[in-house]
Amino acid sequence: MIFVIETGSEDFKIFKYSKDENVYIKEPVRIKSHILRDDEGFINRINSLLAGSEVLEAVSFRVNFGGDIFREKMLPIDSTFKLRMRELIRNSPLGIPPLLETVSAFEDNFPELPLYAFFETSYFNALPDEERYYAVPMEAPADHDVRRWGYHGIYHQFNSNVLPGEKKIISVVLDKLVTVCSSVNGKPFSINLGCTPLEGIMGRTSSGDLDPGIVFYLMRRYNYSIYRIDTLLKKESGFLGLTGYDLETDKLYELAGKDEKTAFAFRVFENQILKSIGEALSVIGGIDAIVFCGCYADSLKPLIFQIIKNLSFLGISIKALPWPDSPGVRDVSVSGSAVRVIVNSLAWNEIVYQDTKNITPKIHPIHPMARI
Amino acid sequence: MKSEDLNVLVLNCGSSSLKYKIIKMPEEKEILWGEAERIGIKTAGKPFITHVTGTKRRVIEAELNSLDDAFSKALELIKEDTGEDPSIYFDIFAHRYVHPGKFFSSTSRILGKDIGKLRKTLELAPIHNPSSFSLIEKCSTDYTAVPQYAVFDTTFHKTIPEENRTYALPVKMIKKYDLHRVGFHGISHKYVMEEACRFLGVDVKTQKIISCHLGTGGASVCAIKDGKSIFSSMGFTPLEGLIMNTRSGDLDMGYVLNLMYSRKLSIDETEKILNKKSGILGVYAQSSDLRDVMKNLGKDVKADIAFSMYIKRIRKYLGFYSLLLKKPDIMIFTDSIGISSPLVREQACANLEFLGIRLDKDKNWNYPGGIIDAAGPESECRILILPTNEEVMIAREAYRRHKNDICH
Repeated sequence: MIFVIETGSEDFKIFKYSKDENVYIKEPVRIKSHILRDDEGFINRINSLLAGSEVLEAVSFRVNFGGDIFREKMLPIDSTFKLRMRELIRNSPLGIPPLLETVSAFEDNFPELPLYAFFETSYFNALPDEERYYAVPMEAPADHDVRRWGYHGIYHQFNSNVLPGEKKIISVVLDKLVTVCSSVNGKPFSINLGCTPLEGIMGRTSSGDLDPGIVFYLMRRYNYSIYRIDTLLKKESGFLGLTGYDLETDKLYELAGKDEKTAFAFRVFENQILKSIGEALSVIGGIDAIVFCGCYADSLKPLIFQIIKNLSFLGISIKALPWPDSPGVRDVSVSGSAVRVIVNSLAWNEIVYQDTKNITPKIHPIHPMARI
Repeated sequence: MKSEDLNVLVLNCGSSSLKYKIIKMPEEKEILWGEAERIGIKTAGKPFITHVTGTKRRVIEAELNSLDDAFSKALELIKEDTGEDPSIYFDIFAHRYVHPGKFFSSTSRILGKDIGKLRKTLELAPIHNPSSFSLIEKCSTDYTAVPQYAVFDTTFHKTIPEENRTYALPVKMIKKYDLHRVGFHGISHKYVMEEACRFLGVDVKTQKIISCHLGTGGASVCAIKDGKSIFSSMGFTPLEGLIMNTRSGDLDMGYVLNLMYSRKLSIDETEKILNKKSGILGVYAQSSDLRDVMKNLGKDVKADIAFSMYIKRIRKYLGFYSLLLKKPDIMIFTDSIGISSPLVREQACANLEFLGIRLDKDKNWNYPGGIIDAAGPESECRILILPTNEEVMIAREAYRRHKNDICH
């Protein structure tokens, strides 16, 4: 059994995979974080997830931020990991502490168990300088954190290698955050989400790109405080702001045919995605494949279809909807298309699992009960 | 003189400058032009006016402590010219006005009742609107018999479709405060659009155009379809979009919040960083002038990065607009950098053959001046180098409106 874990401020999610049978349970098990402070309760809870003779062979963690310290996608967690992660807490004050607490619980209670970290930002350490930096002054020490760190590196790195040979690929992740990355021969050249998660395409409640002049105007003319602006841009904007509905993107998309406000919000959304694709296209000067993935890739198929229709002048042509449901990676372009259009249904946790499986076969499994 | 002849005095204010030009319409003949510089600022040199009538050019140092001083001096010089040549005079004023907010949607005659409306727009373009407003106010009191028109930078962008001009903010707030992508440099984009189509002999209503207005200060890119603006890189204010001399252009809003939140900077301090200390200056540090950056390419890493960032931002908009337009028919480079820098044009167009864009190396590097098509023989897109002339466009707009007013 391999666990893939995503940590949060109040709980952590475990995606369970049976290594031999290649089976996994789609819905993760959610465990409240307070159990991390109760060794016996934690061990019992973890053991309760293993049936019969199952043994836990490895645990992989999704790490949302690795700064410029962690430059590889995957890292076996060793004695220096936590020390180095603590140096990054100022960049991710809400994300790193719960991660370290969870890692510690596994280290303390299952000391022989191989643990791995998979970073969402490491891939983007290879971005060219002109893409990495913003056109702002670099005077104060804190200015050196002002760079495009990127996100969804696990997805984008996987997608950048989806075709064999030397290829120009645009990867679009349709997830809770939507990101667009361009790559050539597996190396990233652009990413539309940068210094913070606010940049780029609108989210469920976040504004995405905005003229900073709007903020100054609201503060000066209408006395908005910075706290009010912060809440406005992060919690009250995006799809919620345009539609009034606070729903998951896939649920909201079902309303688009019935509700004009929602239909309009998706036109704005589509336009923003098109902007990011156009930007990526010109950065790498062409395209061999465009790959869509993320938790909404399947539910937003009509939107993907519409986006690709806008690119048909580039010689791209795709199969008519509905596309057959099949797990994994599938090509939905027609045979004569100048550009491959690929839908990758693998979730980030499945990619992490596959990678973990590939690096653990020689490791002797340790039964968690052994320590007690 | 024909009955429809009209001399238009065009007034184009900057933060510390005033450009003026008398243009005889409809033939668009420039009768005189001038520019007052260093108005009300302390610099090593004194304020001065360059005043040109026909072949006669004068450069006059003067105490120009305010825009009023500069305007009075310019009128004095024009009056002297009229004394020598009675054909030098003006019938109407035409002001460039950057951002009229929701009060005006097209070129308008400004009457006494409109002054109050314009006063409400000063904060929308704090660098430009107050200067233009003060001149309009002065003209309306001192020259009551001379009609004055305001030509707006934003008017051309009124056609941007709703989904392109909407920020993902709460709808109520968008409506209440009118928070949309407004777009700027509309006078210039419209001028080069009309001139490009005239030069190529094509109907503007059938063309897909990308207009790159690359100035030493402000810069913007506009997507035009069938004669209508459908996207502008500048947004609610002229801060958004391309990297400019001291303006950041597009930026992660999280960074902006962080400046104010964590570093406890005021609105003024933060705005100053993004408007006055960023862009080329922020990256290169030694100068805000792209021409200085280009002189140091290959010798200074910061110059290399600043130039690459500047070019990459332009290219990103070219890529986006090519998708919006489904391949452009015409691309235009204009204003000081757009006209004077073959390297910028070359780098902006590099490797865009898949979008039908191919620049001819020789034509690009040997630009003789005027309007040329610098596209290569296999290019599907015409690539024009075309000097802008905002004053002529302002005169055109004011003249059209004045004729229309008289007819009705």
